[in-house]
Amino acid sequence: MDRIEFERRLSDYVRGELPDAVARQIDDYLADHPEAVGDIEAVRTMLELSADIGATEPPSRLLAAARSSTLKAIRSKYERPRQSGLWLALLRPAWMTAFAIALAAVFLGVLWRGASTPAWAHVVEEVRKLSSVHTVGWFRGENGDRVPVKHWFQAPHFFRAEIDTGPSRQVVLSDDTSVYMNIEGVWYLKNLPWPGAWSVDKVGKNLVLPGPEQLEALSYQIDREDRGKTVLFSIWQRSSLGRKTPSDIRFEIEVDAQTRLPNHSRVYLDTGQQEWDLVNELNYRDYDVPLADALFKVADDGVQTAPKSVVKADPLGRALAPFGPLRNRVFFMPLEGMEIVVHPPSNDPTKGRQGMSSRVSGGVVSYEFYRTPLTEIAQTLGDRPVETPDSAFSDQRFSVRIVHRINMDPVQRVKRLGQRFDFVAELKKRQGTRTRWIFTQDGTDFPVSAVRDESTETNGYNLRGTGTPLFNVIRTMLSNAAGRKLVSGYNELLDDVEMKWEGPEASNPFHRRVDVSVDFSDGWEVALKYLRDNFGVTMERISEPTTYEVLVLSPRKEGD
Amino acid sequence: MKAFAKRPADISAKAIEDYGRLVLKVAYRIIPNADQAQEIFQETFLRFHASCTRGEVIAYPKAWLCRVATNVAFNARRQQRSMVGIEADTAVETNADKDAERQLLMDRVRDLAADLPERQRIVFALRNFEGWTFAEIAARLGCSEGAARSSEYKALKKMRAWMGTD
Repeated sequence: MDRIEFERRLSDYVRGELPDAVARQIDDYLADHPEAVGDIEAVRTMLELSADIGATEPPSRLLAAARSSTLKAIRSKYERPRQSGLWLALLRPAWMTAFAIALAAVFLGVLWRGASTPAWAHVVEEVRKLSSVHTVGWFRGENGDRVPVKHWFQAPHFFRAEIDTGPSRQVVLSDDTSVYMNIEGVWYLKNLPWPGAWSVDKVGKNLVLPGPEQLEALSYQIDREDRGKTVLFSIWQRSSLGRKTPSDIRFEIEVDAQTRLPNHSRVYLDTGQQEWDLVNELNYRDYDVPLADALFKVADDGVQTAPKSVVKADPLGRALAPFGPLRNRVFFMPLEGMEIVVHPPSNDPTKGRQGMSSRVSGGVVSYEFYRTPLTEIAQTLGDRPVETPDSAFSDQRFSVRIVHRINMDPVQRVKRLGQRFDFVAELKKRQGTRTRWIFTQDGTDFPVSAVRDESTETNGYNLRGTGTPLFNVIRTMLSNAAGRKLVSGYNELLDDVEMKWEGPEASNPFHRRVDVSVDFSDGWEVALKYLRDNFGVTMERISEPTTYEVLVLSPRKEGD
Repeated sequence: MKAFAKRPADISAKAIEDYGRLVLKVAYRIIPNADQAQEIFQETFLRFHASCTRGEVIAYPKAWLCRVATNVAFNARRQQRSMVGIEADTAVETNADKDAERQLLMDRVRDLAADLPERQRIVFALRNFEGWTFAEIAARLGCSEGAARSSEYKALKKMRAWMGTD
């Protein structure tokens, strides 16, 4: 028996399912190759663990709940309200026919309305058919005031928004390739960073809840209230951490029962005090009314390329926020630059492991921390190492949602955190070593991805992706390799990762989108070889002494 | 299958009745969390129902449901692992027969299986979590017994290698 045959028979041998003659051959192989005994043990362990998994039984009551909720979901998703049962029941006894007919006349209006009551899917379907729509409303401004906003959508892909009035007024226009933004009277241009423009159809798509094709980490609860001529849908979306924390957003939309089109929408945010803050209202008007072309054109010739400050503030994202509450989540400008909502549980270890997620949208960064040490929260917000000479911080964990403006100073963020959690943050300098991780591309050509939508998966030891910018590939591989201890000396907070390219920016190879598939579980050298062989990228490291900043946290005392 | 030549809603209701327990077990073994297992259960049967409403004939509902539930559960596991980690039910964590370390190792096996190519992870899960024979797997997945064995062999080889790198 050779090695390959031995490996093929391993699991059957461990399970005792081999014929005696073959089992003896394995025994002989093991006698000749004692180093293979380890393989037997490894497979045995794996199969025993798998058998334990196979013995895991779901809680006894779960089946009934799962059956009932699934049947309900199928009914609400695929079946319209059925009234025929009532009719048949009334008509079945012959002596009641006359009574039934009379009753039918009385109830006719009610039954007809019931049969036409739209499900959420119908609303989405109708919105997607529109050729144009105009909305007028407001959203909560940074100072808690109501900022007026108007939107116009015109099929196939024209969008206009007017935000605020007077000197603060902003106008955003977009078509299938570009975004024009008027800020303080100046028009700026930016190419759309993603394929597909904003359109009425996309508004509809953003209202679609996860269907059978996809299972999202986020989950929703949808309530429907029939109010005669209108139907009110309330959709509760769970936080980014799924069931770990309560719903943090509620979207209400009032729909005309006959046209199945929205009349009015509202967005509420959780305040953490079992209350909801109304942060946006829109009235929907002028369905399918032709809109003037001039609405979607820039009259001014002096259009400038949008500077980073404008791109970062993302006026388009801000303008579109009310239309993406169920897909992209809405992040309204936090009051006074930053808001902190604390949710229980915090220190209770039975409530599961810690977790964190973050998102950026409309010039706002939003974090969800679950049972996370306070020091880690501070380090994330402060973007620099944190020191805690006082042991009081060591066992403090919190579940907290933090939203801040993208351009808020990191030290200020930590100071605001300190106001909420009673600590003082002080900026200090330290001496240390900083490493420059320098990646260079040798000028050789390499295939560019045909895909524009980035999609990347990793388990920490591998990276598979399509349409991923090369610099993202490199950064992710380095970060993962450091996290899995395949490469030493990488300090994400101190070190610099440099993509060295001296040619014109337009042909920068590190910005090209590539398809990637690499497993570097055998070591960082494998990753480097992959980058060299496929993209002509090499790496060098330069370490040098440096002075860096840390945030020192200490409990707040009286007078601080 | 005559038993399934009915209205889609009736077909789905019967499938939920007949195979619900099995689907829930498959889901819960991969993600031992009641809420999430229930979501996977629902997702699996919604897909089943969607296929029925499209007029597709599912000749072997048991195999179809197991395969879809396995895929949905492993996909959800990968997605959530990358974001927040899987939160196991407290009841599972404190089971007297299985200490915390054992639970961690079992989670590791689930995670390793989730990273396998689709065919290998389904064969591995059906063989080792659900206890199907290779003959059953081959018949239900439409492959030869040798191919099913080969998938399991490759899966085990990869998982041993990955386990060794931890």
